[in-house]
Amino acid sequence: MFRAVLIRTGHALLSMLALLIIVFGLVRLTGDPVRYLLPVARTPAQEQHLREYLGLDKPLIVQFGTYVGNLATGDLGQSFRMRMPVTEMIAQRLPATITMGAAAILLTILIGLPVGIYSAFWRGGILDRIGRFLAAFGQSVPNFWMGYVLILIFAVQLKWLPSGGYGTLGHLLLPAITLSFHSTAGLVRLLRSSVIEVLNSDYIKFHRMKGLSEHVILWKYALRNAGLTALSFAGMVVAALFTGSVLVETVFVWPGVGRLMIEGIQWRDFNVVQGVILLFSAAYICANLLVDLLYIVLNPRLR
Amino acid sequence: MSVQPILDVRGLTVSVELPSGRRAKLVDDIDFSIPPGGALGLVGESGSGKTMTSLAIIGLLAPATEVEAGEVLLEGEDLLKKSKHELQKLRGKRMSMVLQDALTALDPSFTIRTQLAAPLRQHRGLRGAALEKALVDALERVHLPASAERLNQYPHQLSGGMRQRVTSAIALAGEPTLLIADEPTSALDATTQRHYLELLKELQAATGFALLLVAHDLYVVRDSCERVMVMYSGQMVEDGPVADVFSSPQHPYTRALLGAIPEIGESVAIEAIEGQPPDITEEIAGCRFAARCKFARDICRSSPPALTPRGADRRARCFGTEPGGWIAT
Repeated sequence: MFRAVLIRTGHALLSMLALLIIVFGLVRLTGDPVRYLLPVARTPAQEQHLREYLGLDKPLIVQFGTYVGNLATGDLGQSFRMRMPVTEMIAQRLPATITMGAAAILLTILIGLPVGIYSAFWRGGILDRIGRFLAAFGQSVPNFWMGYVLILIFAVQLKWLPSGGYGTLGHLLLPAITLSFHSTAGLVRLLRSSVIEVLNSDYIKFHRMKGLSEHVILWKYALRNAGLTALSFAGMVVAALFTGSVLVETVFVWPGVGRLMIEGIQWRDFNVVQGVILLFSAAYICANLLVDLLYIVLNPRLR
Repeated sequence: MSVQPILDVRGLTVSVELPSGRRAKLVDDIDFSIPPGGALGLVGESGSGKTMTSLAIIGLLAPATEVEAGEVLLEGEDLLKKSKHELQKLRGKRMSMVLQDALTALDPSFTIRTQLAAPLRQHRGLRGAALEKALVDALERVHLPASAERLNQYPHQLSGGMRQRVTSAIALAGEPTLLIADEPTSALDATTQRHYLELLKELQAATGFALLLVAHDLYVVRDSCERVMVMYSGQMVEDGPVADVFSSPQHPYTRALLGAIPEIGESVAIEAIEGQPPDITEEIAGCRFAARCKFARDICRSSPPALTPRGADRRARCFGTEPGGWIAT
């Protein structure tokens, strides 16, 4: 098992390196940061001086080598615009993103789990129909649009919650709901179909023949078996939360790493963009690794 | 007969709603009873209504199917009059069932201990040391070697024969008076099958439950049951003591079933039964077996035969074997 973890980690590092090469090249195609950092009235000599200062005059391969070398020591480089270490900027913004992500995961589980299970149990019933409609809706609507609709209803019309900003529980509510919409819908659909499949299995029939109550069968035996399928979904949820956070943080003016990346792209702040994307991919890979390990722990057939 | 039967089924009729809205009978007016400690074999091809009969008794018919008429008396109490909740309380405790496929009947995500302990706790109220002892006893009773270690294993770690033994141990954990075994050996190889049937007989002798053994194979029934009942297309076509039915079958279908199985050491050609059983959605005027019967005459195709006595405790549904009939038995 230790060996398996080691191999998986190796694969993960390789895919991160590949990703870094792509991002490193792509951001440099988007434009020249020097033009954003210097005032309009500038001389070519000033431009050249800044380019040398930022190390952008060197060949691409040398720049990449330096970056990877620094990365090995945990240094993500300096922000061109803010003149401070990227690690420090990420550290400042990360708590906000984690708060929103954790709230969204909590909502996904609190809503998705019972709705998914009950829709399967009462399949064809009224609750199942409502649940299925909302799930299809949630999966097909983009979350930034959802965010604006929620702002329109709860902030503009009803004036119950602030339309954006950071600090209180009230500020957290709308962004967390917006962010969780997509993953909740996915969990409902996945759990519903796997619970239906499990409930039709012979072993559930045999649990019934033993005289166990439907309640115990559903929440103990069916959930454990269906949950294994749903677990593989967890890795994708984490990915969806990060990519979703980029848009949702922008809509709700939430000071997280997602918005930091957008700002980085706007200012051609290469090191910031690279740093945030590396963080996202590392989080995604760690989440999937964790899911795989959890799978081994929960599924006796894999032990 | 003063002894009250454990299971007494009277006029049981089960039907399913077809997409067209009409109801088709899957089980048509079935009667049988099993005395305490008795064993009845229920035989027929797939689709003959055997499994429907057992599911109707235990109260777990699929939603679209329902019991249209009849009584199912378990020690005198009509199960069809009980609520879902009352039936759930009886299952596992007074009646129990072993499923067709031993390989899929055990929950893959839980240990044998968890699955066996649930009925012991629920039906016999066992806890702590008494529960622990009952767990080991239950596995030893089905001759599972190294029982104590087996408890902590998962189903996939056991062989097919072992899993079927565990399934029986679980089904019998609540000490039921009736055990329904629905083709319990069809997923097992021949040797394991034999061992399992022997075990079933041994358990029956030890605890005295009444056994309803559902099978498509008459020979499985021959060694384990006193009486046999043959079903065809939802109807009873013949019943009687096993030895009599085997020596002089009173229905061409029974005769065909016996002919379709080779005996060890015999070198006769296996006689397959020509054709398919009728579609349940079809309405048939005469005998349902007529289309496949080589003895059929005009009367068989025009009017349905009734189940009539053949001697003291035998019945058959065939014009040809009724007194004065044309089929020699």
